[in-house]
Amino acid sequence: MSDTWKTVKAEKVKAGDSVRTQSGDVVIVSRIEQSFMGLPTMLAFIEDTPDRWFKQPMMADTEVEVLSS
Amino acid sequence: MGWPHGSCESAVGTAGEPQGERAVYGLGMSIYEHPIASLDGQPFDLEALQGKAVLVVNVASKCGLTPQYTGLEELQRTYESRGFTVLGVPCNQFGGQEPGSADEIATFYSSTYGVTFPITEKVDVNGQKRHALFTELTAEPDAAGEAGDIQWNFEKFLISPTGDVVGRFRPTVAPDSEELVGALESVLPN
Repeated sequence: MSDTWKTVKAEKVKAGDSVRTQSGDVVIVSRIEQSFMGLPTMLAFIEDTPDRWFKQPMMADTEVEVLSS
Repeated sequence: MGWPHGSCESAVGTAGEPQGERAVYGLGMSIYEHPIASLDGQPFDLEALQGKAVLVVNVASKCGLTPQYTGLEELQRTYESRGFTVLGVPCNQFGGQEPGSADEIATFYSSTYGVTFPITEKVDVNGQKRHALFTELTAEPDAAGEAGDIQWNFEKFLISPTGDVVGRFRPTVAPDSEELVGALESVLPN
């Protein structure tokens, strides 16, 4: 059975999910920072793996494609 | 090392005191001993910064905070003659906002902002591949007492002429802010 990407709001994403952003980049979500830069309407996905550390902020109600773990 | 946790005023006070021998960090290395290259790929001589106040900033070309280059260059021009320099360090770990090649980065900052301060190679500032310089820098807490990962592009670290990290300023602290300029002026060697 192949993996399927679902479209959800960013605020529904969980650690362990993979997120494909609107730019097409895929972020493996290690943890989620709430209230990015003190803004309660924003969050940031953080990929913290041996291969890459990467932070992608977005509005919490933005729709993203997610592949759940 | 630099400053007491949780107090910017204390930090500035500490920074203004006479410094002894240059600060030595983990593994017996001073902050000047971590190899890093210039943006053009040639070795950058961090040792040449000994005796200067230095503001290390992780920069990016496509960030909402990129106009801070203007304020950083203003600091450079105002205080360079008193023994100060900004050191820009490009990083692509925050939203992928520094995606370009070295040539593209150099063209951008020089033509758009007229930057005259040195810029290093692009490095990682967080994570397992973090450059050793930033392992030292991120051990320092900010004014709220929080150390650890850099939050976003344009975080700033103030280093005294003897190599102490004496201030950490989060990305939204503007280069011309009273907080930053006050700390800077307290550690100028001239």
